[in-house]
Amino acid sequence: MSFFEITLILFQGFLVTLRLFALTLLFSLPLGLIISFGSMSKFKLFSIPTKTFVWIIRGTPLMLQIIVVFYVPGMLFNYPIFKDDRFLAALITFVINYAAYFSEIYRGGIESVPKGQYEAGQVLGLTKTQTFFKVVLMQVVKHILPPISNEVITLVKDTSLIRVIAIVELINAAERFIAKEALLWPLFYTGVFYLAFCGILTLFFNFVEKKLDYYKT
Amino acid sequence: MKKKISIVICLVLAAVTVFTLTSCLGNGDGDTKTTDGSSTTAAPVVKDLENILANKKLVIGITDFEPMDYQDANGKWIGFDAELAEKVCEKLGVTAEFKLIIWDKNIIELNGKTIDCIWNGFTIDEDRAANVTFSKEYMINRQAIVIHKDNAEKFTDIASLNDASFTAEKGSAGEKAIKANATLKDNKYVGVNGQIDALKEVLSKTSDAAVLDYTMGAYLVNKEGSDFAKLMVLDAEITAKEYYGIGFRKGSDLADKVNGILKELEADGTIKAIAEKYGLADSLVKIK
Repeated sequence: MSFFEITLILFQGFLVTLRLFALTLLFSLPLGLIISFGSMSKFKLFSIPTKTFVWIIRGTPLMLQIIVVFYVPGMLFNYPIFKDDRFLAALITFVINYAAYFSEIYRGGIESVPKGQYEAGQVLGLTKTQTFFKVVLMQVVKHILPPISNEVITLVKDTSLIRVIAIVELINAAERFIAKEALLWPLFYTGVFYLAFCGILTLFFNFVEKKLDYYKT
Repeated sequence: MKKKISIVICLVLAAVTVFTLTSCLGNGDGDTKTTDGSSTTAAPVVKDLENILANKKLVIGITDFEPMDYQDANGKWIGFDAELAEKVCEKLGVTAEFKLIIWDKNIIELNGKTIDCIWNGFTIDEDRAANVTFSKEYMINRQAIVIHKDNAEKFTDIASLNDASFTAEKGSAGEKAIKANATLKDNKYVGVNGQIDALKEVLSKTSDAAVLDYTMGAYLVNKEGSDFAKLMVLDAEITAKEYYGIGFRKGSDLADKVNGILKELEADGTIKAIAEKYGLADSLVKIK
């Protein structure tokens, strides 16, 4: 097998990685916001279950969560929902997991805005919702961008965990070359893919951060 | 006070979850083990056959394992086990769906019902029989010791491996072979996640010798252009003979059905023809 052929096959695995990456962000970023509102809620009925949920999700390994979501429906309830779609099991786990992490980042960002600004908004005759969307939100976005970019870059590499349920993503695609062709180098070669993609993301976040840096002259 | 109550509730919930999971995963401890690996009487009958006939497909858990299961240039699964499985499914009146799995999760896949059987050069053994119902044995297998060629002079037989460090796949027949060998059982040993990982250990010289299926070891070491060409299979017997069988869910009614079909396919010469195609005719055993 030529270098080109192997790159092509690895790229097919990389597309699965990219798909998981993109879909996870698409769903977990908004879901995280909802969860953060839950954990900031004054009603214990909302905040206690949400905080417990975040504790469980952040307190157990993502790999274990993938295994539980994929295998337990069939084992305990005799209903293997993900028998024909392993990717869906991985996606659901990733969305829930990352939403939990994002929710804490959002909470930190929202709570970092001084209470005085809400009071000032009230004095100026703005409602609480208006104050949040027109005054607070953009400051929050600016504050949370560095931790979010950190999580996003971690997500790129966490996608490799889905090989535990035998989805052929980048690493698994490379590992199959060992069994099939007795070639070890494709496994190390996958590092190039991750590195290049994370490089692009880093440049992107640098660009956005600069754009948001509107107070500096 | 409320806080304390909620913490207690959380802990209780967590404990219950862990308990149900472990009790569910750890079943089979009380079942009787049989030495030949055939279906046991202690386990209740699991009605798989009905489901499979209704869905018109049998989901077969496999890995890349030439010459048992591997893909041709068009991505079609071929190999001795793959072709035999196709024939058996034909007789059952269902289609064979090959599902690539991670080998060390094979029994979890089976219990999670994400696959219906393991059919991938699956060595029959007593410990596995606690969680799996095996078909009748259909092929002979043995364990091979693989070493680095740099050590070819140092290691020539089992006795010379006295101080060598060993590696094998966790829970594999290879691991059991090491632990059962009088000379090697106290050697330094590390269990890894797969048979290939064991070869990687030897290649990087983090272990001196790996024990794995002869079929796989010989294939990977001798293949042209192999990254494992620096390794070699040691000409020494570590175990007595062992056999390949098909693994079904514990107590599955599918096992008896497939045993019957295997006998038919043996009688009409189908099994022999497939074995000859993959150069495995010598390894066939008569189906009991």
